[in-house]
Amino acid sequence: MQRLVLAAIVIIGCRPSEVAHPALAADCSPTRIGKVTVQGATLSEIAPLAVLEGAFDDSDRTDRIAEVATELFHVRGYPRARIDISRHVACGVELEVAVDRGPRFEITQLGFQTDDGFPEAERVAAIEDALGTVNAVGGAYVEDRMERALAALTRRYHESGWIDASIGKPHATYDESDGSVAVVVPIRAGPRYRIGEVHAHGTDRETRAEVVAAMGLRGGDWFDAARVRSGIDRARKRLDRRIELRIEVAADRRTIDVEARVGGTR
Amino acid sequence: MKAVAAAAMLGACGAPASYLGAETPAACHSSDAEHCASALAERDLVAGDLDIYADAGLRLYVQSVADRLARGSHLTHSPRLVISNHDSTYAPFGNAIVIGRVTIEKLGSEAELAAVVAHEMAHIEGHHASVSLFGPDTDKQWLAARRDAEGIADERAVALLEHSGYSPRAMPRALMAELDGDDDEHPPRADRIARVATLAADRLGFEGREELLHHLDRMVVGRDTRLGIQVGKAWVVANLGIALELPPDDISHVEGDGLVLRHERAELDAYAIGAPWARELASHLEDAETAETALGRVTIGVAPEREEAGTDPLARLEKVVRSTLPQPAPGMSVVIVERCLGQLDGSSSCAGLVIELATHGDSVVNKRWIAGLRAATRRELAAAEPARIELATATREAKFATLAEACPNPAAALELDDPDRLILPGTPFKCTDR
Repeated sequence: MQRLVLAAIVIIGCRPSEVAHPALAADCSPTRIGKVTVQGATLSEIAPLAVLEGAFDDSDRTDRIAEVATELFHVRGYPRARIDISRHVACGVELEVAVDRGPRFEITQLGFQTDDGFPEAERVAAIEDALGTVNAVGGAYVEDRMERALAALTRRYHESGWIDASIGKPHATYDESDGSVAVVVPIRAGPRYRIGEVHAHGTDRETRAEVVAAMGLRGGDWFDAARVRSGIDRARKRLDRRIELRIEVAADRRTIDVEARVGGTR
Repeated sequence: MKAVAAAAMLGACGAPASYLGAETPAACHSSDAEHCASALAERDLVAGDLDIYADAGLRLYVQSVADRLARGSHLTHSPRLVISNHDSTYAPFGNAIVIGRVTIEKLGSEAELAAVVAHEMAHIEGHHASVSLFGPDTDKQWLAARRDAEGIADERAVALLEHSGYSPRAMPRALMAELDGDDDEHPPRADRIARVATLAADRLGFEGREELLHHLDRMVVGRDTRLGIQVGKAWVVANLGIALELPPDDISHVEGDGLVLRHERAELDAYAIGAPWARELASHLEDAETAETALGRVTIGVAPEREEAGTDPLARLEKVVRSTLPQPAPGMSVVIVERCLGQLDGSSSCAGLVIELATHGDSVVNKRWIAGLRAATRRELAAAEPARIELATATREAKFATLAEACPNPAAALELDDPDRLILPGTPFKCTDR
């Protein structure tokens, strides 16, 4: 750090004078984008398009970048933003970017319609995106990201023992008068399963007992796939054996039996 | 990402007061996620491991090149330049560019240096970090956007060179010097070079070969061996003034800056890190015991389970940034040495050494290894000094490959420039000092 302070002192004290070398004359090649102008936004707001100045005029790529720039408006809270681009030849190709932001919305309410025991904070964190700026209270609502996040949340329900859980399509209510959007996510969790019996097979009794002990799983605990996987990993490492995992669901008892099939040394 | 939404979220969460021993940057409190991430990443670089190349003159020179380029760009402020001590060159979030010393050493002119800086500056102009962070979120779309961004940064860099009077032809040369192969996140190397060569055509501008080379004289070249090197039967970290004996019956392997020692099932991994990160790691060890020794403060303990970041967006961001730092795996037995060395100018420079010991290892072996820690001798410190660039002057017109034969280490010199470059009599070229 002291070296940096010293560097800062040197920087302030001895800034070198620059050698003059003028800009080169503009290359007005018809294959290059000479200029990007924008209406309805600032150049900074369409930065991914603005930086095309000087690049090859590749209309397919420009269309892809326009989609990305539009997506950035969506995550800033403009779900109906549109970008249209027209081009004409001047000194190179000039891109005229027209931005129609549409209204801005902010999530003011985000709720889950369920009474299951899945931790609320984890549910919220699972759907929140882009450092808390998307699909979180105070942020923008982006529907396709919400759908993907909910698919991941469904898997987390399954892994946490709600193996029949399903999550419905979220219901979003936009209020144009105050720019708010309220989102409700319906969840049908179903029953939560517990760990049933924990067995080991395929070796002597002593080793089987060691495997079960190393797994650290107890019948009656809530089923947690991550804990089961780490238990198997721990047993593999501790005993230095090949161990395969089998699970079996007993729907009538709402339990999941865990079986470790023990092989030879790894 | 300066969205109001970001402000609401980050501001509401109450950013932690400090990050790696420094005050948490204002951007994190004012809820500017992109600049907050940038500041955390730079703090990682400065404090996390030994990855800043501390040469104020060189940094100032590279900054002046960036300032010139920025005037021909859309940016209102020139990005802050940081020189890393390895080969990583990138534009983190916010308005900063990290350029690797190993990247710089391969370049042949100021225009080529400007080309590398211009490419990164184009990423900043295009808000490409935001696109990565907030843009398309499926893997396929993300990769396509990433490849587009890289291609555009190359092409935009040619325009930035033109605007600031640098030779656009430096762009393909810089890419040829820096790119080794292909990966998923960039267009193919050959395409990248061909496209910028077409854009540059035969247009000439300021080249500045001697300007660059004079700033590179005495720059460390290749790996900075002060971060860890085997000297005789010891592994020496000259930046810490510490040596670790390498027992003859054990398997020792020096990997980059780090050391791996093995004896049957016992294993030791050692690497140097920055002082604030060492302090933080030491303070989080479980069952820790600390002692002040002749080598500095030594803390022995067990690496804790990694904490859940929770739901606070900033805490999660911090966790992501911090996870890039070198750190022991949970459950490992760890020894951390924190040491400060006096410098010639009266200041002191502090750093840390992490030694990880596999828990299934033989504790007798572990103790024997740790007993081998000692202060490095003068001879070892001298042997750990890194190779440096030493300029030579051409006495005749010849290709660099021919002139390099007269360098102290011709093979090492050939890594530093284009073998086919024609060097004029009386002009400098790069050799290494050994």
